[in-house]
Amino acid sequence: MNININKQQYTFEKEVKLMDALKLFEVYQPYAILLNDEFIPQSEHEFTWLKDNDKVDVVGAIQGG
Amino acid sequence: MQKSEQNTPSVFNTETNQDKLSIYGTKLDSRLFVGSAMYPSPQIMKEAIKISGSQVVTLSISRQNPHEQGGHGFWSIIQSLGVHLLPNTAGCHSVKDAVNMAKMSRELFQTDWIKLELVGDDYNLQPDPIDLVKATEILLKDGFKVLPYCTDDLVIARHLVELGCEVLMPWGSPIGTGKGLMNPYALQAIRDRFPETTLIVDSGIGLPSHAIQAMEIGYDAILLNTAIAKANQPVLMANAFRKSIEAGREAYLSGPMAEQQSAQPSTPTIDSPFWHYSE
Repeated sequence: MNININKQQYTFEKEVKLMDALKLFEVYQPYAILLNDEFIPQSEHEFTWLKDNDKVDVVGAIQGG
Repeated sequence: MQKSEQNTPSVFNTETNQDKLSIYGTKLDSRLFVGSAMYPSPQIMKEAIKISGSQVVTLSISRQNPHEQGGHGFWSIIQSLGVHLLPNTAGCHSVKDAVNMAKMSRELFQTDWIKLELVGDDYNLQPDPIDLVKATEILLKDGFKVLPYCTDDLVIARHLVELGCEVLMPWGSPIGTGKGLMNPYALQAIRDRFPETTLIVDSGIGLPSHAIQAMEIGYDAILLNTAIAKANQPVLMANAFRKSIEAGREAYLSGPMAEQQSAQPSTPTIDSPFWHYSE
């Protein structure tokens, strides 16, 4: 199963939950998640199963005006 | 500047001499909001924000890059400032994107304040007024305290106020141009028509004199970034803006004189020994 996290491809041998997939990616606090362009609240990360070719965006704080 | 019919703002208590800015009920002493982008270095950003006296700093979100530790250095500095955070939805071109970005920002920054930006034109970054109203309605219903970045259109302002916005942020001129107030008449009209709404000029301010002009016509605060960050000496400019905004506010509260068409002598002429020369 292939999952795209912040434009990088990750391969998993079996189905994984969002929270487990994030462990492969070096996530820094604070962060928030988009799954296939939809916001997923933190409270749902451990219950959300990923599907093949899902796209995950991990976002953090940056400068802004 | 023509004297306005605007009354002394409701947040000004003449007995205690207290003049607070209200953002959805949160009272602030500083009337300057500053952005956190484009500074020559993080340290200069920190010093500029500190000397500006600002209690509200804008920031944004983007994909984390592990090579930059997910922006952790920037986040540490922002946290150390102890200010209110105002996340933006910069770069969003659709209602869906703006709503998603607002929700992520709320969770990430633990604030329900959102500077709602919806780009309608890539050339001048003009807000899309139709989608702005749609997104505002969705976010207000979801419990957000929306600070919409809008144009100086009176009717759009009315729609936003009728939806429940307690704060509006009309542009002075397009983002990053430093051209000042393009349309003081339109900004004045919004001020006069919505005396109970907190009004903040957002974008286009290039000089302290621009900020003073907005404050003198009764705007409640100024939001800027580029004018400080791109000055040769950002810290010095941040201090200049702090003073100009305080001066503009005091000028507004003091009730400026009415403009006259003809000269009015300021020195009494009665009993002047030269009075008969003009006869």
